[in-house]
Amino acid sequence: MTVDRDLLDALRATARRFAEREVVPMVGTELRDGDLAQVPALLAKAASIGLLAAPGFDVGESGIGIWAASGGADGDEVSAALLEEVAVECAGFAACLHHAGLAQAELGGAGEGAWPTGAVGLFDRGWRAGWQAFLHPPVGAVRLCAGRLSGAVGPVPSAPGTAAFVIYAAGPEGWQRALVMRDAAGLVCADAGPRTGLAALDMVGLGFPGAGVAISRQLHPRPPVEYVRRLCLGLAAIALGNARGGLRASQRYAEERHQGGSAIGRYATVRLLIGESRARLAAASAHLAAAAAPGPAAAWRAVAARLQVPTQCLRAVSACLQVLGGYGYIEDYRLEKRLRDAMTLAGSGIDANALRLMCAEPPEIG
Amino acid sequence: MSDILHPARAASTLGRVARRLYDTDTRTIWERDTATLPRSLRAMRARYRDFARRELAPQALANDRDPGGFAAEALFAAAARQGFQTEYMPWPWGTMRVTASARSLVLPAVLKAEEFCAADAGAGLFLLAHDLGMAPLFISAARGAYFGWLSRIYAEIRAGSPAIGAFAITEPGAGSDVESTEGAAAARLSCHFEAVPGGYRISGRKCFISNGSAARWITLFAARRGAGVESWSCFLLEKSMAGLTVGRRERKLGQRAADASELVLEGVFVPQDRLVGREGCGWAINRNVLNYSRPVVGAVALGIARGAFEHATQFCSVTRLGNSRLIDYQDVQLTLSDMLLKLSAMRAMVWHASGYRLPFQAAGAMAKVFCSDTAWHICTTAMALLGDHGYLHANSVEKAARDARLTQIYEGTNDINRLAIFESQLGAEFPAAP
Repeated sequence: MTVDRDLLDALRATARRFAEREVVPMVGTELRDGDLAQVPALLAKAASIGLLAAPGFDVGESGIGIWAASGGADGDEVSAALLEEVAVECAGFAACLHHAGLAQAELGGAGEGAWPTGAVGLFDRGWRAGWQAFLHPPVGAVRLCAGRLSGAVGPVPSAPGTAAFVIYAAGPEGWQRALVMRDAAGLVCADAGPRTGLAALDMVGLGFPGAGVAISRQLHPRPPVEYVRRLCLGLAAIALGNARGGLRASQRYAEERHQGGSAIGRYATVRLLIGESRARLAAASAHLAAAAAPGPAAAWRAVAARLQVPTQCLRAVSACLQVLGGYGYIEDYRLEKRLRDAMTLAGSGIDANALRLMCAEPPEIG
Repeated sequence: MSDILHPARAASTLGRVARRLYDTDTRTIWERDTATLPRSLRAMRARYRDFARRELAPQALANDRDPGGFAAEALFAAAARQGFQTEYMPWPWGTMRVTASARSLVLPAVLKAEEFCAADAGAGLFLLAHDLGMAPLFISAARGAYFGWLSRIYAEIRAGSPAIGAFAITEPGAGSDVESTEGAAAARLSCHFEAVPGGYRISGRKCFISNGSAARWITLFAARRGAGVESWSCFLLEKSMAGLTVGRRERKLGQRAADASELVLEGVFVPQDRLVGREGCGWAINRNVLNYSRPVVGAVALGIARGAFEHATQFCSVTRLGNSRLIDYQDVQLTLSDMLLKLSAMRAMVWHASGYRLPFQAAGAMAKVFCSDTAWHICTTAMALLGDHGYLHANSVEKAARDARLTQIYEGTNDINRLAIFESQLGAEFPAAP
């Protein structure tokens, strides 16, 4: 059963209002990616209105926070909708909400751990093992032994101010989960350096060298099925929101820019580009809705959505940028930021071939 | 697997004549393609590649992060010492290889563009935009422009001066419009000239001018005041002229080392002898410059995509997953092979378009559109192959993708180029109904 449409519309409206009032001013500065110093305060505001489940903030009974544990069966639809609406204004900030929410979900929702508790670290490029990776940690996974983590993982995305990491690690009996503090002795937390987009996110490589790093707490062991499902859905939702924002900007430009006595939106070249984008986004939206709906093979559907939706959205944003010609390529109209974010989202989380290999297996496995 | 199944070993089972019919050489595609070129161009291709690897590649990431720190004049001087910036005139004025250019006027530039942009499209654009700026002086075939001004500029360059060139057609209200017949007819031009004693006075603005900040010499197009694009004329301007200033430098998505700047002209006096060709022939010069430059943009895209492929291959060859390198996985091999075959198709297209004695509209536009679209596809595929490592700047493929995106826009958007293909080819075959 899917979530009530009226409730979902109301929640979308809440997220949209928040994004328009709070996120737009942060993005709308002269800086290439907006005033990113405001991100931690905006995260706190998002938590205070219930967008983000977090200790110390009252999220109420509805449990609508992104990836909140109390989200229930309809939690995926709600979380995807909220992320999509925020990403219409800023994909990077939506990604911060996404990754902070993922970590909170790992901790069982509000009430456990210090906030902000950030990212979830998985292994690096291990997904060629397909769904077997959910049953048996593949080669390359961080190892947990006698309360100490060893190995390395990264790049790990996280919201700014992240105080701790949830790490999926290989233990003697399969997957283990552990909480490790950012300031744990011996933990190497290295910035991954400049990247294409989603600049609001922190991106670090985590190293647990030598004899390993002591964990703060061992969490109930479980394979990363839920995590991967949420990760994939969220990335697809953010990609869709980002592309919607790009389409909005290009349509506005096509109406405002005149050439040869007409708005350029009347010319076939521009109409083709906009039509192509709208069709791609309609397909992506339908795909995401189907992936987020309750039902069997939820992880498989989420992985398929992660493979297809960001790719369709990247093509749509690229077409939107083309509408603006040279003006799309420079920073002024923000289409170049949209494209950078779309490029980043298309490669985030799990690489494309690994996603295809996972999709090649029967849906019921996922 | 039996050793004899490998192609090179299998050939050993054949007779002597059959072995000569079976190519099991281990040369790279680059080496094989080079061997198909005329002798005079083979060495040039190698020299372009060596220079690019030595001078452009090491600074590519730094120049992308901090375009303000790009040592443009030093790079220009280094390229000039190699003879790469004076290739529109033969000795004793320049470094054009007459035998190579007699075969194709565009192919040398195409080879240069691929090699430079495989190393760094930003610095490559900077060097190539100089040639674009000089192109009207060559293409106009006007004695004064060629033997007067171009030889003088080349003399400055040979003497070690950074006499950098730029080509200025785009205006704030007329971008791709002035790169197609229909669009130009309705374009709102803002850069105008009027005749005054001893020359012309030009006012207006140009935007997105590659090398606009760095250039000393600019070939600039302006319409007679009160007239349309049919009055367009080409002028050679010097940056030091009174009234000519550089406006904003654009902050771009890619190819960031090369500046794209605004030029502001406030009653700039241009002496009569700076008119390139005749008054009113600017539109023809512009169209023909695009015929020459669009295959080069195709080669720019080819170079960028090749760079992305090389970086992705390198990453996959040194990154291990378990006991194997990434490149040992079949899915990775399939993806890389797909990229390589697309690169080969791009090169075939560009070299074919450049093989005509004179470049023409449809051939240039087709090469530009096909290669820029394919380059974008290859670069985003490379990013997807690397997953979370694909969008990290240090791995270079994301820079290639950002660089590639611009090739779908400049020299006329690909949409405008598609119309140009129709106009040049299909429009001629199927003229409009009366």
